Amino acid sequence: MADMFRLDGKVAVVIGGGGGIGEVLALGMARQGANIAIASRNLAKLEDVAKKIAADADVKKSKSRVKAFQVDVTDENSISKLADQVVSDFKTVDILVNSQGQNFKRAALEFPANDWDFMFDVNVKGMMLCCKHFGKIMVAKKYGKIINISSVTALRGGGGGNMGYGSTKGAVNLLTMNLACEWAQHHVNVNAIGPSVIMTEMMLKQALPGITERIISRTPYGRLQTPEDLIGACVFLASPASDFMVGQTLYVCGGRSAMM
Amino acid sequence: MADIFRLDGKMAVVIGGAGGLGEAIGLGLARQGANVAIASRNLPKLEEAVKKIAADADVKKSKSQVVAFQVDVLDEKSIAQLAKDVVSKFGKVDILVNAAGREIRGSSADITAADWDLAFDVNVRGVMLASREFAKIMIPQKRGKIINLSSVREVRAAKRGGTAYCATKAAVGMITKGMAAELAPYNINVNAVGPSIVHTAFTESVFKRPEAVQNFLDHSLLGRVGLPEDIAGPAVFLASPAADFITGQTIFIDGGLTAIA
Repeated sequence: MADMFRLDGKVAVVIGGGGGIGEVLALGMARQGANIAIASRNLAKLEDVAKKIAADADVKKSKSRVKAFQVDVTDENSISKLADQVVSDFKTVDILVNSQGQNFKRAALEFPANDWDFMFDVNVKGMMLCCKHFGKIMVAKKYGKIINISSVTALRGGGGGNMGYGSTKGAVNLLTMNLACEWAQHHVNVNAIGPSVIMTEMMLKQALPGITERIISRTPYGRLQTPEDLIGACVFLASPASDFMVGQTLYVCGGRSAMM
Repeated sequence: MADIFRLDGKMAVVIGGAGGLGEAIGLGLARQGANVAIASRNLPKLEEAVKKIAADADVKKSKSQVVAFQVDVLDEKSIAQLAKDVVSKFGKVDILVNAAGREIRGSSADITAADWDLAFDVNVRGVMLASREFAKIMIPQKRGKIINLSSVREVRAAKRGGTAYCATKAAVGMITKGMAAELAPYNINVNAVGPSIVHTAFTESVFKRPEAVQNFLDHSLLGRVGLPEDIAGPAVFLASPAADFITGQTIFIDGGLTAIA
């Protein structure tokens, strides 16, 4: 029997692939044999990421191809063009990972409408549009796996200026369920991954005193999360091992959601 | 880098289910390289399951050992004995799958106290006792994966009765969360898989009723019912290093049943 976690020959598109979660998930899927199209705004940065992924020993062994594309997820034409480019280059699309995201921490009383709009444009509308344009390809071929990055902030309020971000992730969960309902009949599985807080170096430097300790104290696993923690869940949801799973958000959070 | 989905050298105990989901999960674990102790009441039936698993080409290729043990999950001593026997033969336990279950049907207006007790004894008390006994082995190892067999009935009521069964699975969901929170400091992950109805030897009689099958299909967005291998994949994933930061979760594998209103 073929290894049910391998992705050999599949074409995966990772939106938001330049650094952070997207880059790591692209690497994880390439190691399992998927050819990768990574896309974000900053093409120069993305080219470096593509080179780094392609140089990985397991990626080389899997003979996976990695290519960078530019996209602006706030622009539907740009997303539609990306879908065309990927299909003309890779012939098809089997997997879409939506890891684009903006996170502005703002107090509710001072929330600037512009920041709110931009966050919803990227995190919700941008995700919906990527699903729409790549979903078209998947529905037509009657096969596809879509993985949206959600968050534990979709489940509960938490203070810390998360009103806007948490609201976008709540929307991501319902977007995921509704797309799953529409497209399951075409064998397109739509699911989400819900991480806890992933602190980038920038965030760690800017974090208010005590925040990091508070997050750790509320995580049964007792440590901060890294993007690498999400690789297994992403590959699983992209693979045949999850063929009967649709409309779910899989929380990868060191047990934090169990206590929320 | 090592394949994060492989289980080579791991020792897995699967409680329950010769001919059911336990057997399918046992096969899945063995294919990934784990040695598997499979345990239930009916030893002769279990020996058949062991032979079938051991004869699988991928299991042979992985050089996995598969052994049958007898256990009665209603009997605390029997569970403790199983843990002892497995450790004395294999030296450790890395993975525990609690797949023993009893489905009690019928309306809440008619259920007997004895049926209610049996459902809770097998589905809840049995899971707690087995998890306790094997957690005792996993805690000093500072490593372990516990996977409980829940159901979509953890979070969705059934129209045609079965409230007792639903209540047991809701309890399994909270055992999963509670033990996850308690055992995370020891690197022990506790998760569950929650299937909708799966076509196995145990559910064969239900599948002979066309109106029941139609009802299942009406609630499956994917247009088919679940097969044992649909559940084995997620269970193997949860047993593997690929799921190391996942704990306290129930993964619903239901063709969309819990995603629709």
